Amino acid sequence: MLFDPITISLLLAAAVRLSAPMLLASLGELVSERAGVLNIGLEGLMLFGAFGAVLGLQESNDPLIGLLSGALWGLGAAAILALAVALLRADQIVIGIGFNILALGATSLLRQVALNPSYNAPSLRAVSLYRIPVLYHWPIVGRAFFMQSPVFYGAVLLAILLGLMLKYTRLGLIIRAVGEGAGAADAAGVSVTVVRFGAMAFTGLCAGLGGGYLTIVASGGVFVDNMTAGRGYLAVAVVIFSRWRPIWILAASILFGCADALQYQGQAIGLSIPPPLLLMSPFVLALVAWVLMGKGKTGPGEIGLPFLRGQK
Amino acid sequence: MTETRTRWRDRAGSAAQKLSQGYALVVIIAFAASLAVGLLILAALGVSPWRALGVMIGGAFGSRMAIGDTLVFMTPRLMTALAALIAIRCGFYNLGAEGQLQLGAVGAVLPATMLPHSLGLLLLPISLISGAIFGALWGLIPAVLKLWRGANEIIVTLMMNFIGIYFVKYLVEGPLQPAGSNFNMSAKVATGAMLPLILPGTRLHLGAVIAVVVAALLWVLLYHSTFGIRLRAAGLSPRAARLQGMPLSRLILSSMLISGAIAGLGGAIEVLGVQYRLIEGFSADFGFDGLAVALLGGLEPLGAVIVALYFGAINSGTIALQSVLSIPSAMAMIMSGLPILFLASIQGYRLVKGRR
Repeated sequence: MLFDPITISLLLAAAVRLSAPMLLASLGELVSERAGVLNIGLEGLMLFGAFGAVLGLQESNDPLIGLLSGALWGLGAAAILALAVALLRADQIVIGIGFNILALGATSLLRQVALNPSYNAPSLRAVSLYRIPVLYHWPIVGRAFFMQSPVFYGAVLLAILLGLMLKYTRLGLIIRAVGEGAGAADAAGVSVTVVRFGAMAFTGLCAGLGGGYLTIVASGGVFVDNMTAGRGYLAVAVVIFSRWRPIWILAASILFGCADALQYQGQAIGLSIPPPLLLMSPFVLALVAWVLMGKGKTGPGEIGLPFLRGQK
Repeated sequence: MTETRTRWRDRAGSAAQKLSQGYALVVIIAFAASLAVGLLILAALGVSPWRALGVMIGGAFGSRMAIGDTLVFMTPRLMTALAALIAIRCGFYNLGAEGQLQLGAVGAVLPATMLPHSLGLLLLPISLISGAIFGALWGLIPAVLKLWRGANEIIVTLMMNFIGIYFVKYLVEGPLQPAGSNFNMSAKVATGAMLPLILPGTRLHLGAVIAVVVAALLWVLLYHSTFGIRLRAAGLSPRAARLQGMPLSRLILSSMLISGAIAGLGGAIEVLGVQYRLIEGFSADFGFDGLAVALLGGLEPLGAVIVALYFGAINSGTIALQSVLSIPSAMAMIMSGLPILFLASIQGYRLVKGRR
């Protein structure tokens, strides 16, 4: 019973399905970090996205507009954060902590003021399931990788494109230069402020979409207070111990998706790990991975530091 | 990696430095601005801001019970703030007060529920100390990982927060759940382990006094001991401190031991003074609130006491706001997060303008 192909395939499918919010948020964070911004506010950005998506869904009855609204809420919130970090050079860690407290309160307040608790979501199938013809018949992995939300396919595509963009394009070079040595980039005529602002805005867009996916695709259009439950912080860690590589970020996201999936399906496959330990496991894994990779330096050199012209 | 590590430490040091200069005015502006935004939000919700302000002040200080509540809400936030403060002053960005508080609560509830009740009042100090030890050990882990593996403490402490939270969830859903109970909480602590109430007719318990005493002790430690001078020196400039022959590793380890112990004691106090049980979600993000308190208080013990009192008042005030004017108490978190945003932005701007 435990290891028959059908259960494995279902479990894998759920893991992949639940990996998308983490994947999207991490990809957004990747760009920020490459530009030298350690964006702890990711957790709050996801929360705003999750709320914004449900608001959009309730207003329009269209899940696609819901997701779009989530992404835009993430973008809007990130713009405020970026204003403080990129333009005013606020301490990135300090502002991130304040922003996350604010986000938790603001989304909870907005939920009580603006959302209808007895709202019946329409069919969310349009955004939650698309079978890729032929491929989805594959045994075991077909269901997992080719019968997913279009958003997931988009996220995988984004991971590939981001990897190529950062490595091979001029824009990627500029972003990395700003993260590696903002002073040199500035001297070469690149506006550090604009690049960091843009990177953080992109992070907001991705995190918002990730949050929206969490509410609309993964929880049937319901927003619950603090529903990201640390996923944003986890995504920050994922980016770092994946060593800023999109492929590893994808792999780590799916691995953490497994922990999420086991929480729901563990009982079904006769696994008797208490749910809190499953909830804990991604954080333990992240910690262990983080400690194991301890030494070595491939990351952006000036991550976390504000750029001040004329100072080293 | 060594290079990066030093930079991280320098940054923490300079954060402490920049917070202390021309600071009071900036903090007042930050609080005034966030109060203004808060009142605007209330106006948008269709409540007269002045009426709301009156209700909040009444709810925070208007009666003996209100004052008791304010101090009860202040206590855990002051403890986590003191915990954050001493680590950051040593240049170690401990964002893990939440986790250390959770473990402290576990450490307190174990003896308080399991040791024989015949120990009577001895149970209280045993439980408090046990909580502090649990917190200290939990706080030691990120320090060891940093010194041994060079693992950046920001990520480690953040991850350990959630590990701590889910560990408590695991305990109260399993091993610590009394047989036959369906509630996700531990058994009630023994009467001898409860912190005595100190103001009749209120919920105010001895923990509030303990917190203020810890703040005073911390002040003495920071400013009137060799250890404190070394600790602050290490925080301001690790390189200079190392050149002076100061034992940096030992300083970090001991500051994290103290930091974790204080946060753990905070968790123990919350369990023994307010909840009397270990309950999932007993901490309303005390760890992050405490960080905000520490930073707003300029990383000074006295500043932390004042700001923690303000945070306590915000929390008891918004509860009155909810019961009188039906404004969601989530306002408390908005009012707690906003000042930090303003503070960090203003300080950053001052940095750009070179006025530091």
